[in-house]
Amino acid sequence: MIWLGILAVIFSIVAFFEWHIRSLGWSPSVVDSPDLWVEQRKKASALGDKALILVGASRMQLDMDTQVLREKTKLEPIQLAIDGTSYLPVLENLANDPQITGTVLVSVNAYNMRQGIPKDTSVQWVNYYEQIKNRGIEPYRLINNKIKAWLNNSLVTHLEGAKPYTVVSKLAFTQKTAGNYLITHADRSRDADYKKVQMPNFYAARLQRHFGRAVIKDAKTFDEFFSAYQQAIKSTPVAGRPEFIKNLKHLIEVSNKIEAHGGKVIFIRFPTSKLVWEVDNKRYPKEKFWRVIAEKHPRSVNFSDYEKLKKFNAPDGSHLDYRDKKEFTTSLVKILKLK
Amino acid sequence: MILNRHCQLIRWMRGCNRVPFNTYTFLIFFIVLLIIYHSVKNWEYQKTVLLIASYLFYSAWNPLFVLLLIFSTMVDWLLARKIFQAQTKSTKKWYLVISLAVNLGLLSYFKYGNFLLENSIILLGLFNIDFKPASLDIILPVGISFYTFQTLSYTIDTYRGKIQPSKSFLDYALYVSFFPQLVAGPIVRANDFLPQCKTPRNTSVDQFGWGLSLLTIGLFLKIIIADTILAPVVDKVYAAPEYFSSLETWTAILAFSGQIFADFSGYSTAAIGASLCLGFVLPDNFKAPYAALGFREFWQRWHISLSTWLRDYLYISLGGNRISSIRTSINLMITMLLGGLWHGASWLFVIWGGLHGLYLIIEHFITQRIKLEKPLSKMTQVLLIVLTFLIVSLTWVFFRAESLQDVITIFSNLHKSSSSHKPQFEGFELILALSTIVLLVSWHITTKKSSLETFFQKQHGIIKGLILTLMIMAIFLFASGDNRAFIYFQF
Repeated sequence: MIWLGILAVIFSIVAFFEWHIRSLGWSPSVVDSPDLWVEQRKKASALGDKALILVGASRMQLDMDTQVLREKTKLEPIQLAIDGTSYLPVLENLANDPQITGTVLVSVNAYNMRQGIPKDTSVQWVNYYEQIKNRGIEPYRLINNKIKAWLNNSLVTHLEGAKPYTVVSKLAFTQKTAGNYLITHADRSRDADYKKVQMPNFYAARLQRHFGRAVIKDAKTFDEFFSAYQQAIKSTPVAGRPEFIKNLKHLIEVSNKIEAHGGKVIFIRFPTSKLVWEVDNKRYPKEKFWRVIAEKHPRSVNFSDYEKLKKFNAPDGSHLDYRDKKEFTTSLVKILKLK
Repeated sequence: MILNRHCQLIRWMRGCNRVPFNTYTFLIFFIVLLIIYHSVKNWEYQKTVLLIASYLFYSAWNPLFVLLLIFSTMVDWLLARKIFQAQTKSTKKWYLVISLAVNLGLLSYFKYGNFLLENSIILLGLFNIDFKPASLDIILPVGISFYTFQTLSYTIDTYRGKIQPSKSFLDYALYVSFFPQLVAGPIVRANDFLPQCKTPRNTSVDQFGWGLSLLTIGLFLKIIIADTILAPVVDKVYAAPEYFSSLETWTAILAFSGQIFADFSGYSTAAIGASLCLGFVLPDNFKAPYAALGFREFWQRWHISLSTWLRDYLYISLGGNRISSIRTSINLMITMLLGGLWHGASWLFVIWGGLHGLYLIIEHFITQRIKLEKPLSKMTQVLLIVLTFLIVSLTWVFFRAESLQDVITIFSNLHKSSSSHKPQFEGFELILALSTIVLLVSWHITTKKSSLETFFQKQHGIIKGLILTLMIMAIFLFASGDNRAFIYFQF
């Protein structure tokens, strides 16, 4: 009887905190870690031609719905995109692995072809994978990791792998907040809920980061802020081509290497909107840059070439809201099937 | 270099854990096992379920090494029967020698292979012989020290005529591999365990409830006391002792005393609790060791199953205290040096064991010469208990430090001026660690003559429920995240 009472009390306390913290706006989310990435990377080799490997950065993680991909392509999506980093180290790593014979979707645009540098997360995670790929893992640890991932994915008291004490003490006794706008799932795909962020502040911050520098420091209104950026974009020069050509050549070589051992590589230019799109288009005009990419690698999809992809609006200028990703992915898969 | 601690102790500190009880995997394994075990009605089948579960439990760390466990089990099963059946003393002795050679040979190879090789290189280097063999890279099979000592006690007891070999291989295999005590003890004797295999273990509701309570208390000691409160202070200071003040170093030294107790006794308590849920009774392994008045008493209360093993199979075999005073001292020292080495392949463990040997010899010398006319006053007893605790704590430095250089740094820190020192800890961390130690020692002094069970039985049902609820809640709140191995898995 004592034990039944204890279990009932514990269950009630945990259930209360789960309900309470969720009611404050927080949702369960796992922490995107090197171990989680390595787990996906190993699957990419093991699945062979059944793998649909996603390579890129935040857009690949936020815009693609892995469930839709699984249903529509009958392939197993492997999310290898890494937020805020160069995708080339990952693509090179895949190219050097003859077991990679699946379809590889790469988030490509004219300005993100630079090669990885040692401090890049992608370089570090790839190195970590190379170090441990042949190392056995104790069966109990494997099971434990799966249970932990499931708990982190299901319970908000295990938010991002933190100790429940940390989550409860930091979140349960605060006022209602917007909560976490970004959720990472156990398969490393992500959802962004832009209704949880303050707009247009969030978009303004994204624009400034994307532009690369602060154009105006003491804007009194957002109108003033955005018009300052509009002016700055107009006077932005077109990027030089030699570096682009050199990087593209390397990208094509790496892609050809994957295709040589049976894989299939498709480049995707994901949607950007508003002034973020204008920055991209001004610095890297489609005619001068994307046209070359598409010529060199015909299996390429640019969102702006398709009405069904063009219609999506990125609330922060750069990424889709999670409410749009299902429809976006469904439309994209139809186009990809033609490639 | 030879005095460096190498990787063993460091590995557990960095979370290289091995099938510990504080994992979700164990929780699920145990729940499933309890359901199957208590659903099966035939005792032979129940034992078979336990044996398979024990091998599965061991495989969860490394499936290949189950074969070594089975090999060790079979060798001693056969040799014990041969010893029992042999007609002459010399034949019995030969079978015992084979058992010792196989068991100690395996233990030496797996546990001390790398250590012996490194020391050979250094020794030959002293004679200018450049010997550079390939690294052995031997994996230490988890729990080998524990199950080897169990199988050895079985053949030695058979040789000494204390027990008859078990007629059932299933019972004997279960004795060697019974999962709660397989990887970190207690080291169970055959005559404690095998009789329990003869009749079905009918677990009463009270026994089951007390088993769950012990499991909870054990996990609380490990997760909350050892890992959450004490380990952060200990880890920080021992990682780079030169940066810490006298107060911080003292705190870390005392905190490690608490950490190793909470870690190891936590595991033992959880093991005893898990066994009880299955109807098996395992012997106590710790009895308020920090309330010991002197070192002899300390070793009667600390890791009891190991100290009694060393006493019965090593110290007494060497002659014990039956020959002469000098011989007693030598026997004590040999026993403690080997006891130190049992904890791991490092000279620092040997020094740690040697120091305890020295304390025991000094204590033996004093108690032989000073006969008290009346019992010590309470106050004197408490002072001697505190003195014993302090010396034991200072000696743990050799056990925990990563190198002899760190030992020297830690001891030199103890009287270092703190005036110009920049504090490396939040005051709260030190106060919490010190308070925990004070509470722990006070708890040991208070319960020196009773037990945890007596304390619990005295409490009202609601109080018991409240204590256990708070413990489980604390475990839930702190269990996830960095998962630290139980200290004694390395042995």
